[in-house]
Amino acid sequence: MSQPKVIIVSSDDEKFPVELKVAEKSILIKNMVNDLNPDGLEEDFELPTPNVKSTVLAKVLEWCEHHKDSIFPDDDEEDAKKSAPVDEWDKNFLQVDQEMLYEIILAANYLNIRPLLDSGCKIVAEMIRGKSPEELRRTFNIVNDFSPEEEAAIRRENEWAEDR
Amino acid sequence: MEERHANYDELLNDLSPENTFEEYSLKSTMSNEELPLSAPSVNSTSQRSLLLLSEHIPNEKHEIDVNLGFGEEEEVKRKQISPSSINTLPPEILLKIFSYLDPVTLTEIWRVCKRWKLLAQTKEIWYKSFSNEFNTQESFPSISNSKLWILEYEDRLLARRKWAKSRLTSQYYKFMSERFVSIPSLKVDFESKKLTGLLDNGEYGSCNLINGKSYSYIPNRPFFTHKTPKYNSQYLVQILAEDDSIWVKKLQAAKSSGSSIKSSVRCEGDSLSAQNCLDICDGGYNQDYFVSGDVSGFLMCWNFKGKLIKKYKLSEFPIIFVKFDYRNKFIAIDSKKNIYYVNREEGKVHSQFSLSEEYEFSDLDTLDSNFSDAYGSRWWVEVDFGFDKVIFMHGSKIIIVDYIESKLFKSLELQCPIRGGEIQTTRPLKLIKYDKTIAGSDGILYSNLLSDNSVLVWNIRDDRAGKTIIPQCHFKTQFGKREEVTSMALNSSVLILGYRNGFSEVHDVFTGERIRNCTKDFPKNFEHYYHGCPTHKILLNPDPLMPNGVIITYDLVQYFQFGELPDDKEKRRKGKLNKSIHGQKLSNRNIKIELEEYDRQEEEKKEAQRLISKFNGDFMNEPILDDNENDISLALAVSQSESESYKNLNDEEQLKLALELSLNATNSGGSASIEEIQSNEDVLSNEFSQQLAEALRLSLEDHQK
Repeated sequence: MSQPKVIIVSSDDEKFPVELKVAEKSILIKNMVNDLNPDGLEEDFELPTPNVKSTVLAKVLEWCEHHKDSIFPDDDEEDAKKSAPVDEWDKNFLQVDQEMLYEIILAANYLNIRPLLDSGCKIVAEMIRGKSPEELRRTFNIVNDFSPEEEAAIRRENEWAEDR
Repeated sequence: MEERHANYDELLNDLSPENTFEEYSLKSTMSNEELPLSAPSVNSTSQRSLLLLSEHIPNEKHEIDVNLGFGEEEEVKRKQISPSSINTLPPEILLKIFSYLDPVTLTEIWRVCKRWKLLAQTKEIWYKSFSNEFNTQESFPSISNSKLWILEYEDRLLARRKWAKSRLTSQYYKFMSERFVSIPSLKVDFESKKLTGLLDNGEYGSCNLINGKSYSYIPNRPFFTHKTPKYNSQYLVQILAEDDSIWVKKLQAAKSSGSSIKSSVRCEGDSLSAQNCLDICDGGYNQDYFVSGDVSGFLMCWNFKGKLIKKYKLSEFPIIFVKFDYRNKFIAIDSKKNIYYVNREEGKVHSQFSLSEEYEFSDLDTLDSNFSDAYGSRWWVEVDFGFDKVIFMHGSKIIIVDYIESKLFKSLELQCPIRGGEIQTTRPLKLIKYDKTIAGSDGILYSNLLSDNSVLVWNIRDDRAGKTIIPQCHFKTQFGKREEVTSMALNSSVLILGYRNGFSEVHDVFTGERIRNCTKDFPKNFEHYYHGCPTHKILLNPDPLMPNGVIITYDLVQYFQFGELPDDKEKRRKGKLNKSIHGQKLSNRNIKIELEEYDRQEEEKKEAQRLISKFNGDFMNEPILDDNENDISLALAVSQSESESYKNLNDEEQLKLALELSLNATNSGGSASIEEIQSNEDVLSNEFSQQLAEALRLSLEDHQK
């Protein structure tokens, strides 16, 4: 007999049956499963995630499937995490359009999947790095909401930062 | 374009308050196009919308722009508030993203939009970046005094770069008198580039650090003090050894005339008792009064005309330490190790805290931060009026006492005894102010030299929970046990250690890591200082961004600086830069002592009296004479004074004089024991000296009964 599965239901009611091991990559799901099944999972367990769309959930679960055997460093090891570059597989995996990337980040945040959230944020940080403010606005479709006077003031504030 | 402009305005007027977010997006659209809107309206609206932005993000509406439909350009902008926009991410996620960015990028992204500017300035972002870069804890001495972490970060990077990377230039001078060195009263005014020092006899000297010119002022009246005199730029206050009275001298007046007794004022009170300790403000903060503590437990405030302003009875025991914050707070300690806190505004003694039960302290003479060879018995005290704490160091223990709440704040038991301590060099104002809101919560560092020749740096204002002081760093010094550290100084960036062999090293104050050597090769004329003379004193510029200072090695003054200081640039522009770098130009030791013949005689008498006092064990901080020449001069002086000063005195008066001297000795040292006097007997070479010593010993014994 196959092991009981966790069935994750997306906001648009699509069902994703996954192994417990895969689902447990999400600390939120792991805690929920444990809390509601104190004696261990005996039968399939359905779990709604009303904040996550099916397209995004599929992607997130793909990540969980790939990393089901990966061991990630503890949350506390801030320094180690910060310096570590993004995993090569994650990098390719997150080669998606911005909308999807943000959805994945939000989902990872909601489902409490720290390593995925970290990778996502690092990818975005990578996109920010080395760009001028104008390029950044173009890349991220951000409107410049500074008045010319304010902008001049900021430029002055920033002057000290140059050549240092 | 104009038409659209009008539309926008109309639309904005129609918008109801609950649609502020749309208003925001519209406004930003407009400012992006740099439409000639009147500035105030843009400012006020956008500021308001910015505040509302964060609240509105989750339930924003995207239809409005579609309805407006201003063609392709607006299509792009519509995307900005579509769910896919980076700005729809909650602030904590954006913060997380930003925290992966380096500081330069962080400053760049300010200019993207208001939300990013706001987020990129938050403490969390910079604190992460900061603690990684500098390896420090949450509260540390701020350099920028700014509430913006980014400014603090940048200033600190700049300061560290100056210390670590800039070219070192030094100038060497010989200070006028070696008797000035090792005196805790040495001070440098970095603005006027003047080094000043004071001798126990009231002699005041100053040396210009730019050209090495020095002058000294020798008072025409023998001012013997057995307590360290205190002075600032205007006044000199000292306790006269003869009768423990306080004398105030205006330094400017003294300087011009060379000698004028009128400039000295004796402090008068209703019932004047023997004064024991002093404190006077540093710098130009309060020139109204100074404080003193006396042997009968009174704390007194005086004005500089010598009038008693206020008097507080604190204790039945002598006050051995006073300090005030130049405004209203006084801290006094009596000989039973009780701490008293007095608030002058409220006019009452607030609290007292006794250390005597918990901690065994020996008696002490002076409490100035200095180095001690007799570790285990000395103790040090420091007051942080900003943070309302008194810091004690004794034996191998550091104790911080909260004097407002009158309880122990934190403590630390060390592995081995403390040999010395220095507080961070900072502007005086910083020590009496505490601002929690500035970046870094405004720390004050303290460094301790331990007897195993390691250095401990910790933060007085570390407000993290816990009863134990958590050191910032603890490191072994460069030369290990072979070369002792003989002086140190620290500011908010670096710690400078001076060694017995005359070397000095710059260390990072947060990590203890050695940065560089601070002593260039000594100039030829001073080569003999190598390995021979210990560094006595290091003084740093209180301005944290100024990497310069003074190192005193015996009577050699090294004025060093890293890189070019802003004021040097100015001078060079004017073509007036004095290029007396690296000992090329030496002070010609032209000491201008314009003394009249009368003064000279007085000086001779004073010298004689000094030797007598030394002989009597009065000058505890002077080395015990051991070479024959000095012995002879001492004997000569003693016999001379016998014939001159004492020949008319009868025996009774002699005894009285001896008693007086011995009283001074006990007051100053508290440990001028009979043994010491007996050991001094060895140097006696004539009968009179022996008689005097006998009388002295008898009187001492009487006194102790």
